[in-house]
Amino acid sequence: VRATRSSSGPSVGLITVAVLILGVVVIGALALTQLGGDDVGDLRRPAAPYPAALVDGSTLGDEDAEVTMIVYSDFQCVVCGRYATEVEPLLVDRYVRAGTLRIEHRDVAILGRGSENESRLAAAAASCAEEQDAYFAYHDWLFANRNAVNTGDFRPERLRAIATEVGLDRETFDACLAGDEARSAVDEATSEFAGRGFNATPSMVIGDQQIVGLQTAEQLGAIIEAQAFGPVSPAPSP
Amino acid sequence: VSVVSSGRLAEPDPVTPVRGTLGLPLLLLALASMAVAGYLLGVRMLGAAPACGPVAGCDTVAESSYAIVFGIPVAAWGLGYSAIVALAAFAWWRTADSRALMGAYGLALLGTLGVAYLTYLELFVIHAICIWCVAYAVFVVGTLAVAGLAVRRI
Repeated sequence: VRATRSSSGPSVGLITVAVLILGVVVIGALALTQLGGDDVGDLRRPAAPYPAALVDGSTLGDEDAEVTMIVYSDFQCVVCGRYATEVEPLLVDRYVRAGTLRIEHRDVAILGRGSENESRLAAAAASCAEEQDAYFAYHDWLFANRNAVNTGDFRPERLRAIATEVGLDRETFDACLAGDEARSAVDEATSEFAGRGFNATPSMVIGDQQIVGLQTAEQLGAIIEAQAFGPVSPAPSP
Repeated sequence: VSVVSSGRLAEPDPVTPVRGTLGLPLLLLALASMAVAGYLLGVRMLGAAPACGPVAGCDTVAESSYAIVFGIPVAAWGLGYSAIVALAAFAWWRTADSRALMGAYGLALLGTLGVAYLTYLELFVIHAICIWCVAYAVFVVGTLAVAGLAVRRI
C-alpha cells in the first residue's frame, strides 16, 4: 500500500511540464496543419456539369414538367453538397430527363456570420455566374471547393478565382459581385426560405409538400411520383 | 487496511479516503465523456446530425472539416482518449496504484489542452458552438480538476 505514496515515480511537476510541452507541440502542429494554408490556387475541379439542354439559368428541366421542386440550399452546408452531388444527379436522370420534374434552385445564406458572410457571398457569386449562363458550372465548383464553414473558402478573391476557372468574363463577374443586386437576390431567397418556416438546409418544396433536410433520391422520388401520377392505391384484399 | 510484516494490523491506509472520495467521481467523469463522444461518433457513423436542442450549431461543427483529424473523426479520438482515462481512473480507484492516477492526471491535462483548442476552433474559426462538444469539454476539465485534487492529496 505504501507503494501508492511512492516517490520513485516522476513528480507531479515533472509530469505537468512534460505534458504541457507535449500538448503544445502536438496541438501547435495540428493547428498549423488545419489553419495554415488555404491558398486561392488550390481549387478542386468538380465532375462534369449537367447537359446544357437541361439547364435554364438556375433551373433544371422542362418548364411544362408535371412537378416543380424548389431546393433551398446554402453553399457552406456540407449536407447541401451531398444533395447536389449524390441525390440531385439521380433525380435528374430519373425525372428531369423524362420531363416529369423541374428543379428550381434558391441559394440562401443561413450559415454565414455577419453582413458580408461567406454564404451570402457564395450565393451572390452563383447569381452572378447565372447572368453569364454558368450557374450550374459555378455551383459545382463551389461545392467542390467547400472545406469548412466560415473559414475563407468563399472569400471574394477565392470566388473570383473560381469564376476564372469556370471561364466567366471576369470584369462582368467582378462588377456583379461587388454590386448590391446579387446580394439582394440572396436576401430575398433567404427571406422566402424563412417565411416558409424552414430553418435548415437543404429544404425542398415539392408541389404542396415541404421537406426539411437531406432525403434520398428514393424518398424524394416517391413524393415526386405521388405528385405527378397521384398516390399509389393499395392492392385489393383477397 | 494493510498488514505489515510484524503481523500486526497496520494503521488505516491514508490514501484510501482520497480514493474513496475522488476515485468514483474521476471514473464517472471519464465515463460521461465517453458517453458524449460515443453519441457523437454514433450519429456521425449513421450519417445523421447530432441533436442540438435549442442551441443551434452542432451540425455546423460536426460537418466542418475540423471534425476529422488524420482521417479519423474527432469523436473517435475523443472516445478512445476517454476510454483510456476511464481505465486509468478505474485502475487507481480499485488498486490504489499512483501510477494510474498520474496517468489519468497527465491525460486529463493533455485532454484539457485539446478541448481548449477545439473550443477555440468553434468560437473563432467555425463560428458555431456544439453543445455536445461543450459538455465533453466540461467533463474533460472536470476530470483534470478531480485528478489534480487527488494528485495533491496523495
